[in-house]
Amino acid sequence: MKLNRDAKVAIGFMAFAIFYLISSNQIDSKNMYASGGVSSRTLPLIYAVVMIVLAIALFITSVTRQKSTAQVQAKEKKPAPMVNFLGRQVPRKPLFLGLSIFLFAFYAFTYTKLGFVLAGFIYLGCMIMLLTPPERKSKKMLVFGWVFSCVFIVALYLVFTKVLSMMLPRGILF
Amino acid sequence: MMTMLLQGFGTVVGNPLILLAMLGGVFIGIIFGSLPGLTTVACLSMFLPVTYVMSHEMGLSMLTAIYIGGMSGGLVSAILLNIPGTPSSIATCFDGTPMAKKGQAGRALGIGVFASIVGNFIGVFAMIFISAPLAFFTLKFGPWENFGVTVFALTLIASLCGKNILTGLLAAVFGMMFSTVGLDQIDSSTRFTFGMSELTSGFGLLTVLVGMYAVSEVLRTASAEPEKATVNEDFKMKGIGLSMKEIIEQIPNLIRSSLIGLCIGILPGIGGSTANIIAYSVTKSSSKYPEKFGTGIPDGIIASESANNASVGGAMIPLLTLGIPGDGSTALLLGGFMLHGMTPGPLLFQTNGSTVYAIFASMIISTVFMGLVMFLCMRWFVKILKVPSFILIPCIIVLCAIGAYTLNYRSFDIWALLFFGILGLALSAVKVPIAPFILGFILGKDFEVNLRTGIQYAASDRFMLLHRPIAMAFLVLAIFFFIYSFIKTSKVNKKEASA
Repeated sequence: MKLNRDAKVAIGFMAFAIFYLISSNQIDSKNMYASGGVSSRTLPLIYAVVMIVLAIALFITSVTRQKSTAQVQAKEKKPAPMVNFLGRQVPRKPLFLGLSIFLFAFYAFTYTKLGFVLAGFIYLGCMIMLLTPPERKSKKMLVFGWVFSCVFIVALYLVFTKVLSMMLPRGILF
Repeated sequence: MMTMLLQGFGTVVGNPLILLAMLGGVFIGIIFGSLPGLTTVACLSMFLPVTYVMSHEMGLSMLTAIYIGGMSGGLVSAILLNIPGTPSSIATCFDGTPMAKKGQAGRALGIGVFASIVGNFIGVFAMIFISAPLAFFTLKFGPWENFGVTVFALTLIASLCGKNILTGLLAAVFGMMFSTVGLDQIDSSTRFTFGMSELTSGFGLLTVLVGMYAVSEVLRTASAEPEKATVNEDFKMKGIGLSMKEIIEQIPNLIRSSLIGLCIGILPGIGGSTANIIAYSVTKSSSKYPEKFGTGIPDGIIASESANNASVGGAMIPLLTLGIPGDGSTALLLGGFMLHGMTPGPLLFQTNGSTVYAIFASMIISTVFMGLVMFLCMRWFVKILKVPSFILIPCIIVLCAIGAYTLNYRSFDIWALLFFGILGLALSAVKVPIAPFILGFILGKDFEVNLRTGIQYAASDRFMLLHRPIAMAFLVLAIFFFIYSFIKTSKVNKKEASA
């Protein structure tokens, strides 16, 4: 039997609750109020048990009202593939999402190593290139994207450090 | 109260920089509200770090101005593009777009702005007159009362968000679990840090809020197909688009819709996005000419815009008096308060009364600014609708990262931002509502502290809770809402199954 979305969600929450429950047992509990008080381990244990109970309830209710797979599949519409900026027949969503997350991770990694200006310049430029729709891609747009990234990041750095007196990572440039 | 309010006006009007910050906030809020895909939440996330260096009054006035501007800005694209700039303006499209197609775009915009101003005023004045007495009343609350309120708020938000109360409750518990990370507030035990020193202080509220709301939203917009729409630039705004006779005829609609917006705004988890649709359908069902709705009549625009703007004042009430945010924007405002060393709740009026009344005054002035800016700069906003989202989206991320980094000056918070962004995206993808998670995270610590303190107090009296009528009332209400929502969900599911 193919599980529906809610049943999968219930399984996911249940797995997390079990992991949380096991981790709760490793809390170094110091019960300062032995006479009727609860320790720092009690609430996490309660949360884990409540989540398991709710997840079981969600699983049961979702499975009992599950429509036949055929009906569900009939209702679901598959998104039409489109030609992306690489010229391949790939739906825009997963590719763009993956690349956006990768670039964000790269940005977080280089934020203090390269510094705010350089990391931000690379991130902004790459993101603008990534998100520019194919019909607007041109050499002019490419130049504009990188020039805009440079001006924006430097202006932001100057505003935050000089005007607002906030510290941003200098990195290798300064 | 009036003296304090006048003092608040004095603080705001006496400092031109505060007025400038508010004007800028309203302007930026309208821009973000009008751009489809970008919302007030993203705007507030961007501008939180800017308020670090401002005074309490200036920073919070600017943030509330953004909130007011953002709520009203959605009507621009709803009328001119037939795409609501924010979910709060969905119902504005129903009559706004047909009106624009008839060549009355200017009139529709004028009516929308007028209704926004009236709705905002009603919401803000209700907030001023309700908040102070309510805060005074909640001062009497002890740990059990606070525990009862927390349970009620969590049950309410879980019941009202999404189609399934179980997923709402799971999200709330999930959020509460994340609130346990770090040092225990009572006995300082280390919990769920997995040997990472950065986790000792737990996840920052702003990191979670900005990640779950703004970063996930930006990632979603980045991965979505760009919406292609033509901007209707052929319009002329002449006044508010209504004659005096029409205004008088619309007064019941204005008041009714604003009150609907106000009441819905007070409830945690649902705000302008629900208020505008409910107000529209109530106005339609009580109208003498329901068949005309959707063909381009002022009634629909007035209902939608007055309701969503009145919800701003409504959502501020639980935030200021109980520290419970009504929606995503007020959750970020809560972060703004905390950034400035203030904790919204019953004590706020006593400890920071002057700042609170300055915020009240600034919200009234921001409403006036919003009206002026909308009427005078409408053509400019229409030009901004053409700014491509592929330029704006990365800029938002960069600004959000600055906000996260400057919290503790460590890159760990940027990673946390990404983690919560992906988590928010994943939860949305599987239709698990984010609002209960956020509320669970915000209230989790208070929930634990109040419960544990209450149990300590009750050590000598096992039935202490039964002698606390307010706490009992909130717990009974929570049970009632849970049962009601469960029955309602079951009925809907049965209907869907039989269809």
